[in-house]
Amino acid sequence: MVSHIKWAGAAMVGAAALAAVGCGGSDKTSSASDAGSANAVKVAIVQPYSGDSAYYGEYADQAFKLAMEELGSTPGGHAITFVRGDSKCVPTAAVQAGNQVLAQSPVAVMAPACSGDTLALKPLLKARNVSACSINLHPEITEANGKIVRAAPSDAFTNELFAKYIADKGVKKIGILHDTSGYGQGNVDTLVSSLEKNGVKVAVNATYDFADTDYSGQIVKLKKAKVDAAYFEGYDLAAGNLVKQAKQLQLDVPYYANTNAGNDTAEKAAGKSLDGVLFATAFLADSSDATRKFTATWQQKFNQAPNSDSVDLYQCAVVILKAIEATGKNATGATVGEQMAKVSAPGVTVGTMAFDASGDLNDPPVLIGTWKDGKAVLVDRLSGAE
Amino acid sequence: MSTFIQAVVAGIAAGAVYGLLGAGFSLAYKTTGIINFAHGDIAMLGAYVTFSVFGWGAPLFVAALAGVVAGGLAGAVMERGVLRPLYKRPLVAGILATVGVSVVLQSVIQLVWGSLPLTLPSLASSTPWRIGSVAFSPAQAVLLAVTIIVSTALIFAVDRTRVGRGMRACAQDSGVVVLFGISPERLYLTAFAIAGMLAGLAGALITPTIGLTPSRGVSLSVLGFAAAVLGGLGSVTGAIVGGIAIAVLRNLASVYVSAGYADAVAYLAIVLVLLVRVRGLLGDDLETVRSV
Amino acid sequence: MAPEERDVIPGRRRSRAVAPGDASGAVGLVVEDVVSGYRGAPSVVHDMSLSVAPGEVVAVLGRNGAGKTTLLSTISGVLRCRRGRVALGDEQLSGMPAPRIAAAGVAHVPEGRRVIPGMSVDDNLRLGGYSLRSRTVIEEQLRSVIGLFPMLEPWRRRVAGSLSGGEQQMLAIARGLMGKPRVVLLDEPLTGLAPILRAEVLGVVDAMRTAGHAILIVEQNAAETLPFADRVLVIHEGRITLSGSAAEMASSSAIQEEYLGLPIGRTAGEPCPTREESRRW
Repeated sequence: MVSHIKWAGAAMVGAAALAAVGCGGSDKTSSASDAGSANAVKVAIVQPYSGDSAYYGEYADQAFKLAMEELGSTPGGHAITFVRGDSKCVPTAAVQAGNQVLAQSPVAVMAPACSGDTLALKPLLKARNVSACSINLHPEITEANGKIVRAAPSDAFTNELFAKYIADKGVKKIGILHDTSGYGQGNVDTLVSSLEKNGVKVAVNATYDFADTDYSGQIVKLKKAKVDAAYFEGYDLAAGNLVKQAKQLQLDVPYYANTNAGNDTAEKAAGKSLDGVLFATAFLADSSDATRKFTATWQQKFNQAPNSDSVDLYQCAVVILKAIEATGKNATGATVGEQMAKVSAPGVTVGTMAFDASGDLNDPPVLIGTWKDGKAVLVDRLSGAE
Repeated sequence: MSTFIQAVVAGIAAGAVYGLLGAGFSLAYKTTGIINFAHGDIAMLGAYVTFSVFGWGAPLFVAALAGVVAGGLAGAVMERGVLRPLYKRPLVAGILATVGVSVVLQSVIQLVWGSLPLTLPSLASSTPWRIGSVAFSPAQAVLLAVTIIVSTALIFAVDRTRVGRGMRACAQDSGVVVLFGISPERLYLTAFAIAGMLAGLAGALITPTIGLTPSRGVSLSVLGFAAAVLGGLGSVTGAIVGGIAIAVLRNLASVYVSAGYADAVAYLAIVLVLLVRVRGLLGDDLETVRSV
Repeated sequence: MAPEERDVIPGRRRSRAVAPGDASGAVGLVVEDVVSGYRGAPSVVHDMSLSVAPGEVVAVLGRNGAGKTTLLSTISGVLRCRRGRVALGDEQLSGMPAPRIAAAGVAHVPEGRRVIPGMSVDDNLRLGGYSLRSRTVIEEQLRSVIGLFPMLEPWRRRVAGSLSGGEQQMLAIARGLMGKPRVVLLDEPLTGLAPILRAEVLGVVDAMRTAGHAILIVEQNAAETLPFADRVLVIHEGRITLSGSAAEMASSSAIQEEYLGLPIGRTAGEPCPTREESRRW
């Protein structure tokens, strides 16, 4: 991964050098790109390529690799060069990385997997008139006539259904534990308001920090409040660790969780403790023919099981490639953006990916899953056609 | 009441590992005066090595020992390769160098093991025993037992053995100890190797709870440092007590105040303790001597 | 010191000189043509040669800055020998790092005592025996040193920093003896002590001589040191300017004038220097 950063850095320096030289010879470059139908376009991938979330960068690269193998590597006759920015899952770093890659005039951007990063990038995308495809779940990612389409369901949508599902299970008093990231906060805000609408009292709404190594204080607080259900939000490891520690402290109530509890990492962290935990997700490997096929392909190609993040990143890669293809010769940030907004492409978690006016998926998938004998299984499908 | 006891018991178990981290911190500081900001990263390295050795099929116990050895080696290599050339420079140079080592270790871990979070099973079952209404798991018991055994041995070694005595003396007057046949350089190496082993052990013990991610070491360094400072930098017993105190305080704050303020409460307590007692809870005279 | 005062025995080139009453040959401390100084600074000690035999007390007199402490630090390896050699019996010491020289049998009781203030008297003593390695040997030696310094007995559990100056000096000397040294280097052991304590320290030095240690003592306080010394060297600007038996020296007019503060227009002997003064180089 370090080499990625180095190369990205070298690319920056190289680009700056070219830009400087370009004052004299810009005519030549532009005429060259006008000439052939196979003119190259740039696609920006802004992802964490270093730090603890660097695997998202890896996923994004893999997603494009697979999508280009399946859809062809020169959509609309355009050869694609990728420019990468390392957002580190830190909003300030995301802005810096965004500025660097956007300076190279990409026609589309794969938005970072961390919600906070993408939120920080939004003004830059608008200013540059470039559209991005995002897999973030935070409600505020998309907006009417925004420059972002989202290949995943918004948490606002998911949690509305999930809250009702929880209420229907007879839960009256719930305790919530979530992290302080942009995603964690946004997710819980939508869940809390939906739960309250459905008559479920949120007795405890406690936070933990990414850096925390122990959650016993918070869990004991949930016990003290005598909640009759618990909701745990967390990134992969944290989701598993929370559940595991809650079981150890004998918080003997039904557990609910966010989509990350459905990832293999969570299962590795928590093991059998995850059995019976109900989580809302857009992707389950074993939920439809499309997901089964995708899972097999991904597993075989990259020697790892896909999760909702890698699937959504793949869907974004498909959206971007399809949009570039649809623009034909004249691929710019503006034209590709238009095509992204009105794309209609085959998806994995949904049969067909198409976006509404604000950039959200039509008929987004919301599944309820749980773990059973080390496998994530489908319990219920609340929304989204196969 | 049972809520209170549960919060304290869970805090003690969690704090024991912070104490181990702090003890290594203190030991290295005591002999060399260097605050090792790479301490937590060495702990993570130990945890990753444990992960790999366990993955090759070794029993978890053996794998954890390998992690301890790896931590010790990392500490020794760091002392020899990075810190030794800097001893003639102001102390700050060495301390800053440890920050560099921290960054390098994180990158190395990410290159070797990738950034995808990994997990390690705990040394004992995490299915809890129920004592009254308080839950306590065998995993927590093992953790506590290991901490008690290791820290007792360490305290004995520092207080009663020839090398431990040399370390304490070296901390107070490294110039004069050469006249007794003590080589400060050898002691520094020993101190860093032992501190590294403690870090590796802490890493192998704590990662079943928190998982393995390359940059996790930073938060472990912070915890270890806080434990060591609260207990009195340089005191092994103090570090253990400090670690447990921090974890218990955080838990109580989470339960009775708000989880959002848990860290604030814990660190405020440290500040208050230090205001009243500059040397920390159990710091020896050395610190007062130094601070004058 | 004026050249005409070099009236006793020139200090140069007395290599491997054997002290009176010693027939066992090269078992004592031998310093030959040593040149040394502090790191990155000009040499302070020039072409110095001397020897100390077992059971002999050699006193080195000299004013502040004469090179006395530099000489001791060079022997104990704290400072590097730039030229010349230091040997203990057949074993060459110069070139060895200080800890190995200590282990080879040289105890350097440094100026200002340098006890470890935060550690107990017992721990300070055990530290002195660090190079003995074995726990049982250290404990045995501890008992025998306490036997030699019975005044330490009641303080054993006390923190060394809480002892008075004289008590610390006793401790420092006792700590030096813990390593079973053959040579003991004493740097200004009388400085800053009350007269009664000085006598006590010198009594201990006498006892050490009887026990067969080779003792090199550096002092400004000639009046009290001379009677205890077998031989005396006077150094000035890093060179030995006078040397001879203590009896000879005691009657030397130069010594009387310079160090005993006897007649000739001087009102008193030199005042005891403070640590700062004596550390000026």
